[in-house]
Amino acid sequence: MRARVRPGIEPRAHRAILLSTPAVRLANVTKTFGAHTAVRDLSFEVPRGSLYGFIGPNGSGKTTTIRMILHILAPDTGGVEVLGEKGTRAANDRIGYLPEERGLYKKMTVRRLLAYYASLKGMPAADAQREAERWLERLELTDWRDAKVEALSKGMSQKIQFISTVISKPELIILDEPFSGLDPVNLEVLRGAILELVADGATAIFSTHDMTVAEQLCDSVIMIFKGDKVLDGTREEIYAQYGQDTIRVRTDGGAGVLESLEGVEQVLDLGRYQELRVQGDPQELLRTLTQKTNVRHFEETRPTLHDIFIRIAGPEAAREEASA
Amino acid sequence: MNKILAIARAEYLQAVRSKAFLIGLFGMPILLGGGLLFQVAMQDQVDLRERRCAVFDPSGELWPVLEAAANGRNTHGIWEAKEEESEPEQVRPEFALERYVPEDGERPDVALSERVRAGDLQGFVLLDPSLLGSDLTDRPLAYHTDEPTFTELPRWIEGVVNEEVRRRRFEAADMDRELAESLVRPVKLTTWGLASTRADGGVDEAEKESDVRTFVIPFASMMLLFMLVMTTAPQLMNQVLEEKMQRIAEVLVSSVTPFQLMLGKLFGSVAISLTLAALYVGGIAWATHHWDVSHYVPPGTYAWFLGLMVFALLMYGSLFSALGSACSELRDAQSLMMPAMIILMIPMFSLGAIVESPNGSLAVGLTYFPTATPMIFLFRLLAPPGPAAWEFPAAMAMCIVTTFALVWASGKIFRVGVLAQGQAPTFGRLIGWVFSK
Repeated sequence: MRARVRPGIEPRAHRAILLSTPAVRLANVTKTFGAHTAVRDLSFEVPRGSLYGFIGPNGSGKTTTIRMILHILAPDTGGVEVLGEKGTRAANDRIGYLPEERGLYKKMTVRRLLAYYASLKGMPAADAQREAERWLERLELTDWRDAKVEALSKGMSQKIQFISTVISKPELIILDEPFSGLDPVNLEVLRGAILELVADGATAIFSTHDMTVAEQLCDSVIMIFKGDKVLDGTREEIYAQYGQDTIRVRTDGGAGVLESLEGVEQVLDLGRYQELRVQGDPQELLRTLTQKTNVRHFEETRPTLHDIFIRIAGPEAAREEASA
Repeated sequence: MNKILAIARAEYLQAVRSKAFLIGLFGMPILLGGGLLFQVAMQDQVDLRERRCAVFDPSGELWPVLEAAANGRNTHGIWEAKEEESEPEQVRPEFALERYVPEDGERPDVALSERVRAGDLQGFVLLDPSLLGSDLTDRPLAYHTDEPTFTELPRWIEGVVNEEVRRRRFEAADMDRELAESLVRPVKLTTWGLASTRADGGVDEAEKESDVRTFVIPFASMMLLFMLVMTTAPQLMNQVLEEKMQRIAEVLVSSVTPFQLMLGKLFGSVAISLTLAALYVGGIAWATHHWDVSHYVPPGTYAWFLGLMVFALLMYGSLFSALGSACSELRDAQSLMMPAMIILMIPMFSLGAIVESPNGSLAVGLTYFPTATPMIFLFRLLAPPGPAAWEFPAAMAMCIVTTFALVWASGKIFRVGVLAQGQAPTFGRLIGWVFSK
C-alpha cells in the first residue's frame, strides 16, 4: 500500500496515524437533488482492512453515497473523510472504483486500456505494465491482452474492468455490484481476488442489492433504505441483535396453521418451508405446534440479512426490493 | 496537469491511430480536389441531342438570317478536333430550326406549346415585327419552352437576332458600324497596389493586384480553418456523449475532476487538429515554394493561421464538449447541435459582406462577435489592406477573453452534466449549471 506523507510528520508516525483512522468516515451527511433527498443524515465508519457491505435496494442512495466518498458529488451538509483526507479529492489516487455499469473503451486494446486507467491514477507506465501482466495472468486473460475490448465476452470485460480498478494498488476499493451478470466460475475467481486484496491490507466497500452475497463476504454491513441508514454493524453484532428469534418449520398444516400460534409475530411462507419470527420459548412453540399438526421439520435458525431488512424497513421495502 | 496530459495523449493516440483519421486526412483534400476535377470533367459532358426549335416570323425578314446562322453553326460551330489532324468531334448540340406558318385561325403560341409538350420541340420563338422598327412592343422577342434551364438555344437566338437588328439599324441610319463600335469601345480598369518611396529616395512601383492575393488566400485560409474546426469540434460532442452513455465518464471522474477530463479531451482534439493543419499547411508551403508562387502568401500567414486555429478549437471544442456532457441521448444531442452549428456558421453566413468590404463597419463589427473572431479576423488580416493597427490587440484580447470564458462556462456545465441522467437539457438548465456552486 502506498501512503501519502504529510509535510512535517515522520513517515512511520504518519503511517501509524493513518492506520488508526478509519478508511472512510461519513458524519451526518445529507444530499438532496431538487426536492428528492437521496441521503439523509448518514453517518458511518469503514474500518481499515475490512470488507464492508453497503446494501439496500436499488435507488436507496448507495451510489450517491459512493459518489460522495469519491468526491464526485459534494454533500449538502456533513463531512466526508477518506483515507485521512477531509473534503478533498486528495485521496482519489488511492481509491479504486468499479461502477455498477461498466465503462470500457470498446475500441482500445486491453493493454492500452489498463495502462490508460493506471496513468489516471498517477501510476508510472512501467509499474502499470508489470501490474497489468500480473493481473491478466491471475485472471487468465493473458492471451487477450492485445485484443480490443469489443472482442471480449461479458465475463472477460468485467474481469478487465476489475483489473482496471485494482491495477494501481488502491488502499480503498469500492465495488458497486461487482458480481452482477457473472457466471458462477468467474464469480468465484473475482470473489477470490477481492478476498486476496483485503487479506493484503486493502479496504473494500462492497455495494450490492444482493444481500445473500453481502452476507457471505462482508465483515461489516451498513444497510440503507430511502436515503436513511437502517442497519450498521459487524455481522456478529447484527446477528446478536436479530438472530435469536427465527424458526424454520415444515408441517402438514402449512402456513395457515402457524399464523394463529401464540408468540408468532410473523410468518414468511417459502413454499416447502415457513420461517417464523417468534417471541418466547421455541420449545413451548414446538409443543403447541405438535398438538395442532404433524411437524416434519423444526429448526432454530438465524435470520438472513434479507429477513432483517424486511423486518426493519417493513412490507413496503419488500415490495420495492421485489420490483428492483 | 499530468492527468490532463495523460487524457490528451490517450485521446490523440486513439484518434490518429484510427482509420477515421486517415480517411479524414486524405478525405478532405480528395473531396475538395475531387469536386474540382469532377466539375472540370463534367464541363466536357454535353448533352448532344438535337434541339428542334420553331420560329414564327410574321415579317419573314429574320427567318432567313436565323436559318443561315443555324446552318453555319451546325456545319462549323459545333465541331472540334481534340488534336491537330484528328477527326473533328461534335462538342455542342445541333440546333434544327423550322419556320412555322400558322394555318387559318390557329394561334401560334397555343399550337406550338402543344408540340413542345408532346416532345416534338425544345421550344419556339416568336419574332414580333416591331423588332425591325424603333417602336418595340413589350415582347418583341419571346422564347417559349418547358425546359428553361437549357439556356444555350435562347442565348444563341438572342445573339443572332440582335446582331441582325443592329446591322439593320446602322444601315438605316447610314452609319459606319465599325467606326461607331470603335467610338463606344469600353476602357478596362485594372487594380494596382500602392507605390512607396524608399529610404534612398527611389520609388517602389505599385504592383498589379492579384485575385490570388486579395481573395483566394484569405478565403481558402478561412475555409481551411472552418473545416478543421468542423472536423474535430463536433466530434467532441459525440465522444463525450458516448463516454457518458457507456458509463466510462463515471470511471474517469473517479480519478480526475470533470474539468481535468474536459481539458484533457480539449487538448487532445487541439493536438489532432494541429497535426492535420501541419500536414495541410506544410503541403501548401511546399507547393507554393515548388511552383514559385510563395510571394502570394503574406508573411506571417501560417503563424496567424495556427494561432487563431488554436483559439477557435478551444472555443468550439469546449462548447461542444459541454453540450455533449449535458445530453443523455443522441436525440438530445441532435437538438442541441443545431444552435451550436449556427454559431459556428456565423462567419460563413457573413462571408459575402466581409469579402465585399473587409474593413467596412459590418465586417469590423462581426469580428468582435465573440466566437466569430478567429475566422473573420483571419480573413481580414490576409485581405489587403488588412485591419487597422488597433484591431490586432483588440482581436487578440477578444480571442483570449472568449476562450477563457467559454472554457470556464463549459467546465461548469461539464461538471454537472457528465453525471446527470434522464432529463433532456434545456438552455435554461445549462445556464443554471454555469452559475451553480
